Amino acid sequence: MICAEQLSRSFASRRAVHRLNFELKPGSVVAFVGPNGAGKTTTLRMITGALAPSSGRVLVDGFDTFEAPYQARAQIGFLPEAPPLYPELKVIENLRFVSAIKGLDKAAIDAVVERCELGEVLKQLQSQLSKGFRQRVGLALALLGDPPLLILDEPTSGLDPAQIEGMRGLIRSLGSDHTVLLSTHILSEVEAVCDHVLMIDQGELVADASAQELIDEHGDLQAAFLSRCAAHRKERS
Amino acid sequence: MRQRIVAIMKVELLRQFTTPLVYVMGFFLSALSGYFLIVLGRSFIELTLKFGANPEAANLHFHERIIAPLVLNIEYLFVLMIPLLCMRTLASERAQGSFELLAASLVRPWELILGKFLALTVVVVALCGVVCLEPLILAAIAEPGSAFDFGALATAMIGLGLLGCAFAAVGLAASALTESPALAAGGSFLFLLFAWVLRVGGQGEGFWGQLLPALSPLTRLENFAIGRLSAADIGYFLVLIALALTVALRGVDRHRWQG
Repeated sequence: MICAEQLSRSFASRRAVHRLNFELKPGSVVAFVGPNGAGKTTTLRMITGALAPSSGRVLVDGFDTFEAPYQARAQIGFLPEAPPLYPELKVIENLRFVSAIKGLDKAAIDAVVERCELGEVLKQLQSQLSKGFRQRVGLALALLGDPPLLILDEPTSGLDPAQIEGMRGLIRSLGSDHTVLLSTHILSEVEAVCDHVLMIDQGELVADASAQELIDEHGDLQAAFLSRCAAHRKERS
Repeated sequence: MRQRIVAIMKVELLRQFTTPLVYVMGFFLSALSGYFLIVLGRSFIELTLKFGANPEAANLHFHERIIAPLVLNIEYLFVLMIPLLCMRTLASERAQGSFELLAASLVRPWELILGKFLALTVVVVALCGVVCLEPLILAAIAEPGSAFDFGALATAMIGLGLLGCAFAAVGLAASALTESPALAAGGSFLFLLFAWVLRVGGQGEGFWGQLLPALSPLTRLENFAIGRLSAADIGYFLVLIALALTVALRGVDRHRWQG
């Protein structure tokens, strides 16, 4: 579903992502894990085509995100770290807008409203919603048109425990019929919802394995994460 | 393609009309154009009474004495207002994160710019409508047979609309180049101030004295204001709009390269 080849990105002299190579198979829920500033969001933005790579390329369902950006984007539903909403608009207006730019009809809106349980807040202004509902609306926008690939950037960030559980349940249910790439630095979340893990540190990939393999090797994901990052940093220094 | 442009235009209009800024601008525009109309009308009546018996009084044309100066005063209000109107269009999208949605969507950068510009055009037309309303009321209550020149008023409003659209395109370009709405407003205000300096500072003899005012959009409004429609002036505004929208397009595209 996603194939990254030698993917790199620099901002001025700072190297944000360096030669990432990975592949995501259709129908998997993959965690993209790394400390803050590791390059997760930069990588996700390159996959969605919102940011051009300095070198290398990403293929989404066979489409190069640089050469054929619109064909690639048609396969992607993206939930950025801050839900991309217009605070001055009502929930239903945000949904109608994204539905119109994706060329969808009312039935598509009804489907995501039901799936994300947004019926009670449809006529509320975006700015009046709780953080949990804002994340749900953001997810609903990503789900509009039922794209085969979902990219979720820290979808549970800032949510209370009940909201986190609700969001995880939703992601688990999405995993049954979508490929999900979930960026997070919460390792309990990875264990709860993901079957494969990509670990990144200082812009470089330090692990590409199933969650179970990492747990078997290091005891738990926390130990795996610390050990892989420490080994990488030692190697670099 | 058309559906995406219309969607962007609709959302921008919703954003503009759900905040009080447009209404406050409309109120001030209405109040100030009413004030200008009273002052200019009173001065016109005084001149008519003073020179009524003089054959020269035939030259006291209502449109040139009242409507044209009114429109030329409104242009200064546009210099102040339109940067405020445009500052949020793209800059605040970046600040609030909704730009990310557009950048990763099927919307082409030119569709985004065109949709935003069309929305701003609707707002500019609405503001011109506010300015136009009071002269129309004056025409409606005038004695039958009064020489109110509707054609000249329409030409003046076309000029004001084109000037407003050119200012909006400049504001959109400034908004595309920064994440800060305040900086976007400041940038486009400085540009429009420069246009004013070109007109005022360039008035003189010689090559530069002729050329510099001709480059200012404010000078180009003068012909429209007196009811003279010129292809060169229309062309000037269209070229200015096209240039500003190209800069806006580059600004949006730059985001993809620079992050």
